[in-house]
Amino acid sequence: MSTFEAFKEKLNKMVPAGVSIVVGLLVLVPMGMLVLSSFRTGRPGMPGGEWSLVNYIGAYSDIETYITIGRSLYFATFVTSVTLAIGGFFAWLVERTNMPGRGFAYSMLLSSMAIPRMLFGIAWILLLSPRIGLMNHFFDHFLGLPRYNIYSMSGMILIQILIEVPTAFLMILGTLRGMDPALEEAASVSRSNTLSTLRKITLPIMTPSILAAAVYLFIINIEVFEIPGLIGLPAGITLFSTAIYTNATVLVPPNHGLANTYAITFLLLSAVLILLYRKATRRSERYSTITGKGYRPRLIDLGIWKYFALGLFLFFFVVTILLPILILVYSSLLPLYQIPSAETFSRFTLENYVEAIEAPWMGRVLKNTLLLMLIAPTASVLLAALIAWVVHRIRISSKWKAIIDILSFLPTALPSIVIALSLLIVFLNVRFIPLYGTLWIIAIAFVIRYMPYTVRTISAAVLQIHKELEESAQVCRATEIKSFFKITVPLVAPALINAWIWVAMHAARAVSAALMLYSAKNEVLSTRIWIIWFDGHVTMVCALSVMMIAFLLLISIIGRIIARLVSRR
Amino acid sequence: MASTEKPNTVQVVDLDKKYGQVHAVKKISFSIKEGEFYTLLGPSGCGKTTTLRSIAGLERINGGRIYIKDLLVDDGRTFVPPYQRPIGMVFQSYAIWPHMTVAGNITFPLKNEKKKYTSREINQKVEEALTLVQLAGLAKRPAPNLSGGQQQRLALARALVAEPTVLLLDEPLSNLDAKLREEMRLELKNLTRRLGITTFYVTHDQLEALVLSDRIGLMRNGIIVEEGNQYDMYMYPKYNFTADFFGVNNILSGTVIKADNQAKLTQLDLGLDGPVFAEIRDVPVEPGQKVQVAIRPENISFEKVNADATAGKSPSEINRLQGIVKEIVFLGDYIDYRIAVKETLLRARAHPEVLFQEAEGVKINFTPKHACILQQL
Repeated sequence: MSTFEAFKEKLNKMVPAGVSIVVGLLVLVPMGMLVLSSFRTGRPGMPGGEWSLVNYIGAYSDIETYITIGRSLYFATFVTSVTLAIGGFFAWLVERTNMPGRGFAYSMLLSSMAIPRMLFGIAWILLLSPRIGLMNHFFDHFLGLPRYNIYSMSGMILIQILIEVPTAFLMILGTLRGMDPALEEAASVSRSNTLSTLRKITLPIMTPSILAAAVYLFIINIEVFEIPGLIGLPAGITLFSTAIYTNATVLVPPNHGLANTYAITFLLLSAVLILLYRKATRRSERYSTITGKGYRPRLIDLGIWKYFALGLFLFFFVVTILLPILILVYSSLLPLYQIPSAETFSRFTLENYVEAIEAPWMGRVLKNTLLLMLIAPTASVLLAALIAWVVHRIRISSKWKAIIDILSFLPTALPSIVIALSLLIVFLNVRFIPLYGTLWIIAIAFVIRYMPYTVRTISAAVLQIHKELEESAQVCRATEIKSFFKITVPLVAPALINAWIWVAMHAARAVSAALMLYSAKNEVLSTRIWIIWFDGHVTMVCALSVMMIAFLLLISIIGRIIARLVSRR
Repeated sequence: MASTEKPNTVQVVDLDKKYGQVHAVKKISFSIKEGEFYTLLGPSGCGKTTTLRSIAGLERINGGRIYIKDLLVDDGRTFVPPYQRPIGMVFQSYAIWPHMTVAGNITFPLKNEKKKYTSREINQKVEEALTLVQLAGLAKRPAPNLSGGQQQRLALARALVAEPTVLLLDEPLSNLDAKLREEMRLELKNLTRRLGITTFYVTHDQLEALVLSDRIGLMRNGIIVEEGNQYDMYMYPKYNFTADFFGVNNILSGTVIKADNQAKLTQLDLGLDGPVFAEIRDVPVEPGQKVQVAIRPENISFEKVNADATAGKSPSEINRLQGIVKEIVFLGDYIDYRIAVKETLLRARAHPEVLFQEAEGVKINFTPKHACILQQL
């Protein structure tokens, strides 16, 4: 055997070990550091400090901690139940009824997910702020109603609900699509009417999946940072995520100890939720309803109500998507923000856009953003593909596989802000790896955060590729790695591209991790918008927002076209 | 047989394979001569596919040794990976790569070989391989655009193109419909005989094994129960499992009355209306011994009770019994009669023109050679 052959042989054996080490480092080191340093006084990476329970005692003897926990749970419970109800109803309308314009309704909800939460939040403040809110102006002057104060708990809940409905919609839609229509048809030939079929057949069968969706949404709502940050912080209402953010980065000097104990509490809470989620999804697997039958179920005739249903959709579209975008576009064209009138329209100018593009920071921010949108998804997808390959295709012991599988799932319980905090602590301590304050540290945070998603997506695709396709390549004299890259990778290319785009979009829009790890060097578009917003340059923020939305929509459209071309090939 | 002088192409010694608690293959040994078509036949889960995958190197064995042409490929420590073994394989699902053309599928093994081919050589080999399986002219087609039967042929061409020492076939016909399967069965037989390639075939279908094989190994629960040429195994099964697997419906239990191990004849009490004479083959029997006997339904001839003694086939003097027709099942190419002889129901097969009525009395008859004494497993 030549040395090259021997090297190839070694590579085959090294990959599983290498993948396990990388995953272990990514997941266990930050978490371990987080736990360890929660038992230390002093600042991370600084001399001094000793082992102590003082952080915990400090946090748990303070009533404010319990209020924050209670508030976060209240917020998440409320938002989750309402989004599930609305999203589920919409999903049922689109999938099972003869409502006109179902395709439009679907793509409208889908594409609204390309718009970052932060920008929605900003738009809603412009609409509902007690002082400058356009809707409030309308309520006040035309209807004589009292002004609504968005800077409140109810404001946060309302906006978060409007933002998360599409997520709930998509999750329930997936379940409805996967369900064997014959189960419902069997009920209807057993003399069961539409309503009792829905109640006695459809809902019970879907219960595990709905439960899983509920847990998933609950985790999103408990870790969400954008709305609590934009609305809650100015109103003085802290939730978990904003409490960590404030203590770790806003306060001078930062109180890392407290942020740390909050993060641990957060972690334990989401760990419990994850266990619930796993239980729910296991049950939904037992209820497995996918049959692969190629026919769609008979659609339920809503009669005259179908126009009412469409009206509901249009109303939702206008209020929650069109209006926020319009207000962003409108204010981006003004030199100074004002309530619309005939006069303001005559002042329209592109100055904000020109100023943004010519700003001295623009080149750096743009470069960083694009680089992040390239590094994070590429690393994520590569790692996830290797994990999927090792777990599902390589002959290693099943215990080892289970460990990799669990490690790659663990970050589901790690909110972005907790990952960011732990990376902060890691690289403050480990100075000989100079990643602190660089773009790389943000990319690492995203790779960890999105690992469960990418691994699940790509694993599902790999599992659909018959194992014999790879085995036959090996019998045809191709090494294991070569068979993987020549046969499996091209076949799962659509899934890889989808996962890549998903991560790229999220890397561009997510603000919490980038903000926690912020430095002048690694500033990206989302953190720049956040900072300008809190500096009060409203119209400039709107110009940047409009450009960002246009850019993200463009990327998602290009991505969908590429994925379709690849899968058609 | 002439093939006994030929060298072994595949030799499997004490192959042992466990999956956790499941002992899939229990120390089996067999060898395949050069140019021989060897089939492992058995019910699903008997370990036959595991054996094939071990020869291919897709499974690592726990014990024993596998040789391909004097080259030790696996002994539990030394392991030659599949991509370095001189094999070609057709998978049950065909495993045609859907993102490639027909030609792409066939050239893949060639491009992985150490020897570098010129593009002209490659084109020539592709054409040859496609002609061999009657797919000439389809090289440019995307592979998923082929029908099931064509994909099957493509898989075969891909397995053969690199001129392997052994061809491994893992239930390749089980995904085809009945008519196509029959066609492919014959084609496969002609092709392997024409090329003279050593072939290892795995199936649960006894008919495939009978049509294709030079030699069959019958497998159950991880061991090879019986090995031999297809004719003997079908006509003269040695074990109750073999008889049952090859569809003998009449397996009767009884006791030995007399045994003449010299004359190779024994007289048995099977609870019928008289003693039954059976031939003694390899294993001697003695009076009082409990035995099981297999009689193939097509080896039982019968005639009407009131028929002229000279009509029909000439029956032998012994093993003449009398019974009553209980049930008649018309199966198209033959009629299956259930005949009650005292308490025992015997099944007998007849040409569809041989017509009896229900409850009609019949005389039945079979030769001692066709009453096979079975060993128990």
